[in-house]
Amino acid sequence: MKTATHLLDEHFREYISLLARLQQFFLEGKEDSPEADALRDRMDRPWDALSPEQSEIVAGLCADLNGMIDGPSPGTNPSESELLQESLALREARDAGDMLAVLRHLRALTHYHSPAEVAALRAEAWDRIGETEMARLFSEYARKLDGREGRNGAPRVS
Amino acid sequence: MPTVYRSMKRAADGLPVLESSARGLGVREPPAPDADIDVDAAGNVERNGKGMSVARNWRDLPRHRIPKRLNNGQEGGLGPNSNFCWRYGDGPFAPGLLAVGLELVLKPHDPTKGNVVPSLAVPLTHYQADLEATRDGWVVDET
Repeated sequence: MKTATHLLDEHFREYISLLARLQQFFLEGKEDSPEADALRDRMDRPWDALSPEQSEIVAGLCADLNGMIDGPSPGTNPSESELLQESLALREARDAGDMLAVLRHLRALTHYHSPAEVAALRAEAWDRIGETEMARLFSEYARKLDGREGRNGAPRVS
Repeated sequence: MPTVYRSMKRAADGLPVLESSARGLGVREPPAPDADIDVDAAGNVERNGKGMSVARNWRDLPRHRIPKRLNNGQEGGLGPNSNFCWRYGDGPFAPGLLAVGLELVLKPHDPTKGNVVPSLAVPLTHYQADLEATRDGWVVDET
């Protein structure tokens, strides 16, 4: 099952693209600048066009982006069986090419994968979705966490 | 009266900032490219569903308006931390009268989003004054 294409419409892609630019302002410490506010004004229109399902995806992405600024969130502490279930679901989603599901399941696995691995998997997911700027942000974050320039490949998910 | 939420700055008196912006109590006016409303040739606000945007809950507000400090690891925001999430009203999020001269209309594709619109075609200054008149009724609610 591939990522549902109806979710990846022009409004969603425009919002994700603008969100990546807004994140860049945060990374540069310019999130309260007039330029950042002007960008937020541009984001209102695509936001209004998003469906509830798309808005939920964006909510999760914003949490992921916040982690890039404040450090990884401690997240939930799942039981062994929950961890196993989420790991299986992640692998199946990745194999099936359902990258939005990959991003969702990853949030339950932050105790299992290292922050660098999570960031690399997010980079891979956004790249496969076709949002290269968002992918670049996560890829650079993964490299920063990993401390090894040049290694930004996603870990093996078994 | 429906309950609505909006992300706005807080003024020195603890109430929402009165401002024709997306971060204040008011609407952005034409000819601004991001104007929230249309105005007809007579200077009246057109009753076409456009107005001051609100949501069912603060978690339904635009993610770029929700202050970043409210991130919980599962859902977050990329709004400035000087924004606050405000609540007005005490009923279900349903179309109807919100305050004197103001109504809530829902956005057709998403029942968690809405606009506060004028009940009648009134001059823009009248509409902005009606919005300002609700100021005392807004409280910060980020629970």
